[in-house]
Amino acid sequence: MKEHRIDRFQFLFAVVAILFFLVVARLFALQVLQKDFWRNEALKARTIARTIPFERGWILARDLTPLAVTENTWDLRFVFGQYRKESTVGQIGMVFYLTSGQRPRSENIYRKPADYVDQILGRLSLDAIADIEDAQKRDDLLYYLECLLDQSGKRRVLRLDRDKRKGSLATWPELAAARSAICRRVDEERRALGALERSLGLEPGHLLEKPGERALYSDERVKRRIDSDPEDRATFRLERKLHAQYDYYEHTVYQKIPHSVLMMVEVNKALYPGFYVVESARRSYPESVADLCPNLIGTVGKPGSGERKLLEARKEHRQKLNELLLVEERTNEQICEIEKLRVIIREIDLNPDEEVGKRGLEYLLEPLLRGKRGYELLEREHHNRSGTIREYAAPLKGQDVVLTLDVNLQRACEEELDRLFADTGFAGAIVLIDPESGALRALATSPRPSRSRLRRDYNDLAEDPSRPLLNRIFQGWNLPPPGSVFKLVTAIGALEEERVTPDELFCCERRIEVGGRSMRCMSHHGDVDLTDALMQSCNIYFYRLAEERLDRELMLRWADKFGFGRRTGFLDPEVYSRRFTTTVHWDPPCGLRSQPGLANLMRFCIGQDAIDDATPLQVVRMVAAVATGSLPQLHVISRIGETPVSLPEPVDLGISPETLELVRNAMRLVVEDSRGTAGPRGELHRNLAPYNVAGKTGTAQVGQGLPDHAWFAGYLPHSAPALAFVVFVESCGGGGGRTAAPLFQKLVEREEFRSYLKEMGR
Amino acid sequence: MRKKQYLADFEWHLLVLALGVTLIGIVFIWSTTRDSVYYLQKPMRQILFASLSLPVVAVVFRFGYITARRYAYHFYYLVLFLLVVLCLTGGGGGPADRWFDLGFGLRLQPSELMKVALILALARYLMYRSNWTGWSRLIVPFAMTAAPMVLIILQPDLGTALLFPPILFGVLFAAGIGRRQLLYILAAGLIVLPLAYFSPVLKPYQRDRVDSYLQSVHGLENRVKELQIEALTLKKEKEEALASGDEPTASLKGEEEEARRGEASQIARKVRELKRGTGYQQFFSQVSIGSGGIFGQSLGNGPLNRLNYLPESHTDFIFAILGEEWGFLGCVAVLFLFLLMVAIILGIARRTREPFGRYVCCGVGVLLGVQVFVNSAITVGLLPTTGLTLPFMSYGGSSLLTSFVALALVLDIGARRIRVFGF
Repeated sequence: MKEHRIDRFQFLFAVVAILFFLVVARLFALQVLQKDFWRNEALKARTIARTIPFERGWILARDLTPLAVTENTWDLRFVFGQYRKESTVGQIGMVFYLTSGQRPRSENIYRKPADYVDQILGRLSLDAIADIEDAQKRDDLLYYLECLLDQSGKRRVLRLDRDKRKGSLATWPELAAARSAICRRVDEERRALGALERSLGLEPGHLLEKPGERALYSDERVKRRIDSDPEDRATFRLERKLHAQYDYYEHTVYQKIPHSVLMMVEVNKALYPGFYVVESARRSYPESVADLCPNLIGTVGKPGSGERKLLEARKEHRQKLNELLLVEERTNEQICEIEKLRVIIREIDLNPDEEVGKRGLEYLLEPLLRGKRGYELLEREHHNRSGTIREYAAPLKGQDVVLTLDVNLQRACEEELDRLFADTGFAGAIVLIDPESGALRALATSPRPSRSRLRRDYNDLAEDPSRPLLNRIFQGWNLPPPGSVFKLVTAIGALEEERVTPDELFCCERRIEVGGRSMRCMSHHGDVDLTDALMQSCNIYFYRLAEERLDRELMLRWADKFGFGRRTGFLDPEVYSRRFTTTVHWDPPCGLRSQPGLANLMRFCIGQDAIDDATPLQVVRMVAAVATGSLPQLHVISRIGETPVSLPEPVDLGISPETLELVRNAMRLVVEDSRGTAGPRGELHRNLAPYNVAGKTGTAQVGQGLPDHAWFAGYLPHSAPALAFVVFVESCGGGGGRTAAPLFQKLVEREEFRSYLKEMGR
Repeated sequence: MRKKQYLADFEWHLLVLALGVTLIGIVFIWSTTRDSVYYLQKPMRQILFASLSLPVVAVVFRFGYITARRYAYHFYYLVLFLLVVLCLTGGGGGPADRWFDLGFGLRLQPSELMKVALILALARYLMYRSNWTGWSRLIVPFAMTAAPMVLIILQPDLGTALLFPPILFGVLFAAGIGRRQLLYILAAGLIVLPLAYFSPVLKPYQRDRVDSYLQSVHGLENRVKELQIEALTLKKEKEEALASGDEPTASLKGEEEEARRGEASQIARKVRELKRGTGYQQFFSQVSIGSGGIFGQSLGNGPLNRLNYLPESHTDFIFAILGEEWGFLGCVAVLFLFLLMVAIILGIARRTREPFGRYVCCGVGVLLGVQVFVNSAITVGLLPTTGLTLPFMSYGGSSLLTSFVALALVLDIGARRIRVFGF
């Protein structure tokens, strides 16, 4: 018997020991065998990796006026899920929703809280609550009721047993106290939201409606999901789960809130349940210069179909990384590859919520303006959004780009063009450059969209008959020939190749017949030498020159030397610059049977027909070349970050000084001589002579009964050129001297010009 | 002379072990709360509870366990009455239904006291009964166990309630129940457990806990990885097939790949839900323990502990913090200390010839062993989550008091036993 008993105690001990051994075995599995897995899980659970958005590089003008900046702004967001739990009105709404399935509009509750509270208290009976079938629904209702009633006073108004369906309700005086307390709280919330509305300048009631709107949004989504549920589970639990998802969508109520409102919301967090403020970095254009050449600066936007490739690359990187991570035993190369991919994904790959350049410089300079995202690894406390930083890599700001653009000149040009457009409806463009370096000082085009319109109604702009979306600096819906401005090239070519001497005379009798085709001049000029021909823009002189001395190869060579048909820099896309035609317009050849193509050549020499497409940029570069003797490359960027942009030296065209002197003199006479096409003319109020301008007018004939375009290109002051310019007026019907030159005169008269020339020391 | 005899037979080791474990408990309570606002409050209170327990122990020694035998039923009925009162007055269903508020921030948990009361009552009932032919003898002990169990389940505190059958089992076993009867009882228990899962007694959240227990995060994550690797190989095979112009095979492989990916994402979603939802506590206690490794992450510096990822870490889940900060070696050491205590207690039971004392010792030994086992098994994920304290270590006055009273009884029994030659 004794032995038997002893066995029993040992047996009991053995059972306990075996049980303990099970635990130890499990501990061994967790802590020794699966240690790495759990360490990793612990790391994953307690850390949160965040990317820090980079600041997009700024775009600055020549005098460092910011044209496009990155602004850190605060946005006011609203989360309905938090609101319905924490605000009194949200709780009232939820009690109604849970009991009747209907949500009263939030603004109605704010307006008459007493009605709704009375309804709740009137309906409040323990039986009604106990009758709710779904335990979860009952629990939720009790939760909201307790939130609502128990905050009213120190004593619990409601005492309910969730499981046993029994409990007690407070006495009537207590309920009355609860009622007034709830109404008071609703009133407090309403006043707080009202104050917020006033500080933001919103119309009264805007924020009071917000919760209702968001609830409706979320209800609709939930309903749609439940309706399309394949398993047809229309249970409260599913509904609740979906609400838990949709109610927590963040909704931006107001972008760029002022600092005072930020403080208001942050300090009184308890007064604004559901509202909170997030910081974001966004591209912004300072108001004073926002509408300065928006089509040059361009716009940014969210990545769309244009960035499909980049987004796909991002996806591919991720996929590749995931595949590499699945490999158990990695080679060194694979480890390097993984690290590299991680860095690329973290810092460089385009995120779908980032801003990318869509148009203009923002688009062209995208690789420079983009920085690298930073990254931080936060070790956070449970249920906390923030925590201590364990790893940190600062974001790299994109590079600031300093343009060569002069804000004052640009604004002056744009104002003059706008006035012209407003007065006459003529579109146009003005380009000013520094003739030595080819730096663009102003790039004005009109009409042009304002930034707000560009953002708001792009479609209207695209269909506008005045075509405001065209950048007439290098685009035109029908690019104009350079017209008589091109005669400069012809003259220089002829002189340099010694096909003509400066003193040789050709007779202009207003009309010339070539191969049965009649060609005309502006007027009867009589015997003219080269200077006169340029000054008065005599067509016949150049026709005769072409007929007797010039040939097609020479003209093409010199047109090419002066940069027609080539890009002027990186601004103008190739499509537009390359349209200078060498074949199409020589065909069909017009002229004498013995000289086919003669008529084409003659037209070509005066800058019509064959040389169909010249952009203002090309024309201004050409006059700059005449002013300095070498062809510059046009550029608009002077510095990237701290590094000056190195540009190819201007190409010396090897033109003899005598030739240049003659042409320059002719250009001066164009403006100063009373016979010059832009000479002083009282009836046109045209007198550019006092401003030391040298120029050449041009009238580009389009044919087909369409009005002519006007050109006026040149430089100033003629003794030591500081600015080369081109003025282009589209489809104005008048010649360069009649429209373009007076426009330029208005510009030269402005203060901005004087101060610029003074700055340049001229 | 009697006093001298008493002191000579006193099991000092057991008391030292218990105090040592309590000390370890206090250290870890300090560790779990050292960053909170209540800095030092909890450890100080625990020290207070421990020192309050000592006079109670002294009282037990003064009157001796024979007095306890005399008043066993009274004590049992008193605690049962308290439970009934709690059951009738409790409302709201919160944890407040488990305690009586004594004022001064002290609360009494009758279910803890019931453990000792039940052991005493059962021992008292069974002490002179040794004839185990037939089931009728078992009716009263079963009823005595079932009554408080039901009341405690209603609280609801499933964890504590589930300790009562092992107590009954231990005492009956010591009292010499027949092996066949024992087998029947065990078999019945095995049948009842799965039934209980579907019974309305189990609350939904408790059922969810069981569900999440049945799925191991580690296993699921591995499965996801396996599926992804399979999908990858299938993708490669598909590309090869496409390259060799075998389109039907390629499309077949593509479909298989899609299926693998679908399954993987489904499991991954389940894992995410498990981690966030019902399996939260279990998952984080396993993460805590697992990340401790062999040597642990040094006392007071477990990252998950300091960042408060584990709720109830100073009470029910203190073992997980132990695992994180002292590692495998620390856990095994503490378990060994508990096992040693169980061994000494059962040793006392074995040496005691007086039946009441023997049964009480046996009951206390089983209670201690089972409670430690269940608590640690929950934290390592061997059992589903129920609220249960780790004796001597978890924060909480009632638990500590009960443990010390039970210990004092055992010590007193050990010291007053009738010496038998040969033991």
